[in-house]
Amino acid sequence: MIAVDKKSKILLAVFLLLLLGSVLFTYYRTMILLDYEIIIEEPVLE
Amino acid sequence: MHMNIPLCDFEGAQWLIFNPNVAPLVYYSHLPILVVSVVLAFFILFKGAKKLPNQILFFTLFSFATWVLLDSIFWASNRSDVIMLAWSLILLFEPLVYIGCFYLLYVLTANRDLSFWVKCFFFVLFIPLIVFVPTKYGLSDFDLASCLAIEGPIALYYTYFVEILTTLIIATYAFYKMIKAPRGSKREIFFLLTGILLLLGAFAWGNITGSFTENWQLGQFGLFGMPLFAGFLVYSIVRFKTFNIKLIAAQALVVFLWVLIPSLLLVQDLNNIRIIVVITSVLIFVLGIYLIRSVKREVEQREKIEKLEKEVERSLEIEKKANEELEKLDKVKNQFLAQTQHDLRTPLTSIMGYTDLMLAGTFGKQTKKTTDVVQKLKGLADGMIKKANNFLDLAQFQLGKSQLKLEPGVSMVTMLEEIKSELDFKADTKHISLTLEKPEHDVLVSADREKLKAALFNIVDNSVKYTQQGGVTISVKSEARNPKSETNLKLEILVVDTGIGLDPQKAKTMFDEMFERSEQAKKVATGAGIGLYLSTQIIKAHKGKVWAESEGEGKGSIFHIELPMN
Repeated sequence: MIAVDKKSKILLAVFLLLLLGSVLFTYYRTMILLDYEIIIEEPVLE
Repeated sequence: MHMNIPLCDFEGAQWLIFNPNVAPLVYYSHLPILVVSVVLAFFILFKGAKKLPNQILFFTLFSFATWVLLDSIFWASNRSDVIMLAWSLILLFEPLVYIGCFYLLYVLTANRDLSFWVKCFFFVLFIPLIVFVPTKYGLSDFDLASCLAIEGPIALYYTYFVEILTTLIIATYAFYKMIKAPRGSKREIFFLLTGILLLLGAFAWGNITGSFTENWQLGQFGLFGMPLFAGFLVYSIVRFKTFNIKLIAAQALVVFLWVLIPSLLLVQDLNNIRIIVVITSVLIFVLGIYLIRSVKREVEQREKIEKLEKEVERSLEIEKKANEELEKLDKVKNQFLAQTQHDLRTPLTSIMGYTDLMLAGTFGKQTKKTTDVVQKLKGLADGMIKKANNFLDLAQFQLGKSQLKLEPGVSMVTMLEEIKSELDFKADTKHISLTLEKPEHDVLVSADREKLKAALFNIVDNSVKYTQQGGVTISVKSEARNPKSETNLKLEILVVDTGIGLDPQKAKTMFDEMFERSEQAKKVATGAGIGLYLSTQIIKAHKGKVWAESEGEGKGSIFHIELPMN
């Protein structure tokens, strides 16, 4: 069986925490703060 | 609460992903693949949660399934916030599929974990995504007219940079491995690489065409690469034997078909063939169960055969090692025997030589007392040489080193006459008779003359030694066990003495092992009991038998020696 060293496990844990933080922050920004501009672009007519 | 959320100009979704406005192609390309990915991911984790390749494949498929789910939400929702969230998360999970594929390829081909520093490299590569995806650099604005987010530089460039870089790393690594791999492994790596590149190519196709042409419908076809990827991945992993994937493949294929065929019912244009789809679904369901069972049985049988093969290989390995050890031991024993022979015989031969010279008067005339002592010394040395020879012969026989040199036409009468004449003096000294009853015709046998003579000599000598009065008679009988066949003719030599006799129980087993002499026998003569045991070994080597009979102690003994005549 392939063994994973302790440093890698810590790195993975940090990565998953950061990923989770990023997901939660994205949720906060888009769903709670609605921090984005609404624009209405006219369709390009050929 | 929803009052403030800008909505696109179409009906909202039910259960996040269902919306009649969405083209059936989207469901057709997403839902079956989502189900297959989730089932496959958890099945692989269930089959070996502690195995690293299983864990990596689980996370890769899980990331892929999350991507498909988010994409389905993106298509069905009319809410700008939900679309912004789903799209942003897609940016996070999409590169994870690429990195997971590389990690899986590496672990399967190198059979070890990625180095910590390579992991750090991908970690650092991913950091900008983690940091900037929640910001305006990920998705900046939302266009209500097209119901699409406006992508920032992270979405437009950096995500694709990570994906293209990882794909290049995959291709370079796989190419390097294929060059270095032995001939048999090249094919496996090729299939694994093809599967991964197909998935990533199909995946990238949808995203890149969507991002740069804004024709996201065209990107739907990319997801159809998933079954191809699954096929190649499954095949290559079967070759690597990492998972019990043949079964998983069959199950995944069946589940895929179970979901795929009924999903056609969602396509509204297919009203005319709806009944055909239903019948096909039922057939696929039944055939699927049959297929899974057949493959399961086949896999179990193969596993059993493989297990047996491994056991046989292990046994052969153990046997080989044991043989090597035996050969070494044999060499040591041979050396020991040769050394012992030399160490025992040399001084005894010297003693014999010096005593002969003393008796011959080489060192001057000796007194009668000295001559008697020297005679005794000579007798003892002679006895010691015989014992040493017997001991070494026996050791050689037990080790199987002493080979018989059989010669045909050995005359038993001549041999017994020689033995008699050699022991006549001893019998005369003890005032007992030693008689040879010759048969009418000479009896010829195939034998190692020297060794057989030594064996018979030991038995007759033993009788003479333990007979105090009366005498010893040697007789020869030959008879046909089967008169029609000469090959079964046998010869029996009887040595009958009027000596100290034997305990009838002991007489039966006295030739089976080193014979322990009775107290009475010890008083009559000396000897280690090696001679008779050696005789037994020699006679057995001639395919003969030897046994003794006695009515009891003090009543004499009869020794039977049976030999085949051919």
